[in-house]
Formats: sequence, C-alpha cells, structure tokens
Amino acid sequence: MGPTAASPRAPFTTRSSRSVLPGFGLSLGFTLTYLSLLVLIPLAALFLRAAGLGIEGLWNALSSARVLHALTLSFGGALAAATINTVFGALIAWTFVRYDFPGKRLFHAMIDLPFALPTAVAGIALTVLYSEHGWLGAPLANLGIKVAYTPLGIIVAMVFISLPFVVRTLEPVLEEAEKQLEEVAATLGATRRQTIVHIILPTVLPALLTGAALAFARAVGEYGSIIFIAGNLQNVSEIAPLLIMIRLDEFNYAGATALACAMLVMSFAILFAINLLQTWNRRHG
Amino acid sequence: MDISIRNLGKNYGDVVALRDIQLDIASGELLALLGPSGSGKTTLLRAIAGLETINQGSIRFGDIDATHLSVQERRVGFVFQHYALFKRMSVLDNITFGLRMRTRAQRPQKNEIQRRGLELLDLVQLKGLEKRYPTQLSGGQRQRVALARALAIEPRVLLLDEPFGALDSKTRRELRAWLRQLHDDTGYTTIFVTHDENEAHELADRVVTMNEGMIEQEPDA
Repeated sequence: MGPTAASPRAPFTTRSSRSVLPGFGLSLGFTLTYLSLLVLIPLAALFLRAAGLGIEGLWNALSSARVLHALTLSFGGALAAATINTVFGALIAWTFVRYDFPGKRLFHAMIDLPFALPTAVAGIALTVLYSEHGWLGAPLANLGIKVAYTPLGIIVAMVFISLPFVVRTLEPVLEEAEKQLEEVAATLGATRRQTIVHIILPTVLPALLTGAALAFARAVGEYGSIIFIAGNLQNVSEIAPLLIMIRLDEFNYAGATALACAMLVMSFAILFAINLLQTWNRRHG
Repeated sequence: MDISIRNLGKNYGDVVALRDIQLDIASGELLALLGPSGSGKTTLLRAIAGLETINQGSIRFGDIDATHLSVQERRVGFVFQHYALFKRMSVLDNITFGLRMRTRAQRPQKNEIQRRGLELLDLVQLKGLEKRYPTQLSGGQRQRVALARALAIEPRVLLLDEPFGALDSKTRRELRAWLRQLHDDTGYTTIFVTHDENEAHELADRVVTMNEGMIEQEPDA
C-alpha cells in the first residue's frame, strides 16, 4: 500500500477543511427561507393590509371604547397571568427539582396537560368548575367572588393554559444549579434568605424571564379556553382575539386587520422589552 | 482552634457512613484525611462543617460545643474540589461575600470590606485580578480565590475537600507547596481530604487513614 501513503495530497481535506463549521451558507439560506415563508410573509401581508387602511382608517377601527376595552383586558389579563405563573410556577419547579414525594412522577406529568388538552375542553371544564353552582364557584360565590363570566375568569383560564411554560423553562436551570453554591454560601454565614436572593435568584433569573415571556405570549393569544369562561360581555369580558373573530363574522375585514396589527405591535413591544431586560441582566450580573 | 470529635456516627438508613469516630486535632495543625472513595472521609469533613447531620456523637471547637450549631454558626472555611465560585460575581465580590452577608451590627464598613478583600487577594498571590470573573481564571487561580473567600470570614477551622483534585499535576505540586507555606504563615487549624498518599504525607503534619467509615490507624505524630 505504498502509493497511498506517498500520495501527494490526502483526500477529504480540500473543501470541508476550510471552515470549522461547514455548511454555513446552506443553513443560513434554509433558516431565512423557512422563517420568511412561515412567519415573515404572513405578518408582512397583515401589515400591508393594515397600511392600506391609512392612518384615519386605523384610528377609526381602533378608537372605539369596545376595542380599547378588549385590548386592555387581553394585555392586562395576560400580564397578570404571567406574573401569577412566574411566582407559583417557580415554586412548583423548585418543589419538583428539590424534593421527593409520593406520586411525584404523576404530578410531574400533569404539568404538561394544559398543553395537550384541546383548549375548548379546558374552557368548558373551567367554566363548569367556576360557575355559580360549580365545585369551586359555589364556595367562592358565598364569599362574594364571582369568577365565571368576569375578567377574573379570563385570568384563571390564562393562568391555566400558560402554567407549563414557567415550570418547564425553570426546571432544567434549577436542576443544574449546583447545590455546592448554596452550601458554600451557608458556610460563609449567609442565611437561607440571603442565599436565595444573592445566589439562586441571579442564576435562574434569565430562565424565569423567558418563562414569563412565553407565558405572557401564550395568554395574550389564547382564544379557545377563554371564550367559554369569559361570557363575552361587551366592555366587560370580551377579549381582543374574540373581537377579531366578531369583526370577521361581520365581514369587517379592515377592523379585524387593524385590531390584529395592534395586538402584534403591542406583543412585540412587550416581548422586546423582556428581551432587553435579559440582555441588561446578563451584562450586569 | 483545636477540634475534638467523640463517638461520631452517621448512617443513611441502613448504610453506615461513619462509625464511632474519635479524632483530636491540635490548634494550628495541618491534618490529612486519607482514604479511598467511599471511605467516609468527605462525609466526616462535611459533618465537621455542619453540612451533614450526624446521628450520634459530638464535635467541639475549642471550648464551644458545635454539635448542634448550624452551618452558619460554626464559622468554618470550606473549600470544595470544584471551587464552587459564584460565577456572576467578580473575584473581589466572591472573596468578600461572607463579610457582606453579615448582619449590620457585625458588618465592617464598605471600604474596610474592600480593603480586607484586596489584602486576601494579595495573600493568595492574585494581586490585580479583583475585577476578573471566575470563568476568566485558571483552575489553580480559582482554587486560590475559593481559599481566600474561606479565609475572609476568619474561620475557626479550615476544611478542604480534595482541594487539588481537579488540577493538573504541575499546578497541583505548585499549590501544595504554596498551601503549606500559607498554613505556616497564617496558622489556621486545617483538615484536608485526599486520596493521594504522596500528597497527604508531603503536605500534612499528620495523616489519618479512613476505611469503610472508620479511622484505620493513628500513627504517632
């Protein structure tokens, strides 16, 4: 096999050795095409339609009290739901990662159920539970708290469907957080509270923000589970996605487009703000 | 500060981790706990620090009965094999962490904390690196920072768990000599855990060998 060894240039080393990570052009091209087809083009079409309305048309479509109320309700509710889930989702993730208890696997599997359940089923189940004669609704009604067919019911539905996001984004990060860091903090005299504030929280904050952003995005766009429990009263419990459907039913495509655009812009602004917070947090850790 | 351990026992369910440990360490002594993995040496070290609860026996630091003191109250300097530095804090913030976490009444002034941090950095020969972050340091440097952080709280005793275990052999040898020097300069009572017989004998005043949760032999000093 002498000739092979003496061969002037070895095979397989010409093209692929130019870059440590070959295939850059192909993967970038694929990514851009894919994103354009799936996300960019539909969104651009939406904006184009909205632009066709002109500023006055947009203003007319958006300035009614009903529209403003629906937008406030959707975004306010989603922010509330995301906040609630951030606190309690963090607690749940902590419990799953740090403690062992009977039935843990079962509970653990249950976390993802809101993802798997058809949203209409979730909505009907929640409505039955929280209506005035429901298992949870009746005792709450005795306390004077009405959940079904009120904005409170909307928040309950939003919390339900967006819970998995915080738990599932936080778990791997907590899993990885070294227990030794907490131990070393304790030997240095830090109390449990100081350890959580100075050691644990900074480590999990990025994941917590990501989870909150995902939960928020999911809650804002949620439709199926909410419309059952909301009751959909104008200016009381009518969410923006439902109003878009109503406009479409009225063949008022301009109104629907304008509202959709408004939701997109607001969602983007909030998600972008959370993103900035992430970057800032990373730099000032 | 001298340490005395009497009848110490620890078990996980049916598994006995430590069996009837009797051990006295003189003030200022540098003691090596030697043994194979699973021999209980790390468990003993962690029990002294209060990181493991014990089932029986007592631990005394000088005149203080430490058996029922919390980790925080024991004031031990503990150094882990993999450094356990706080990644999101600068080197100086790592070192001064213990001082900064003290209650307002016991906490030194801000610039005093700063001064002591820099002094310790100098002591572990890392002068000028106070603004760096742990990821920007070599393994040997990280372990020095971990040691400085442990020293900052003026510990009653210094406990090192395989302190050189994660380092390459050259750095190991350097750090060994340096640690011996540091010990002679500062005089802290020190216990370190190792499975390396050469390291134990080269570095320590006295070597205690453990096996299957018991102290195997105590040669005369």
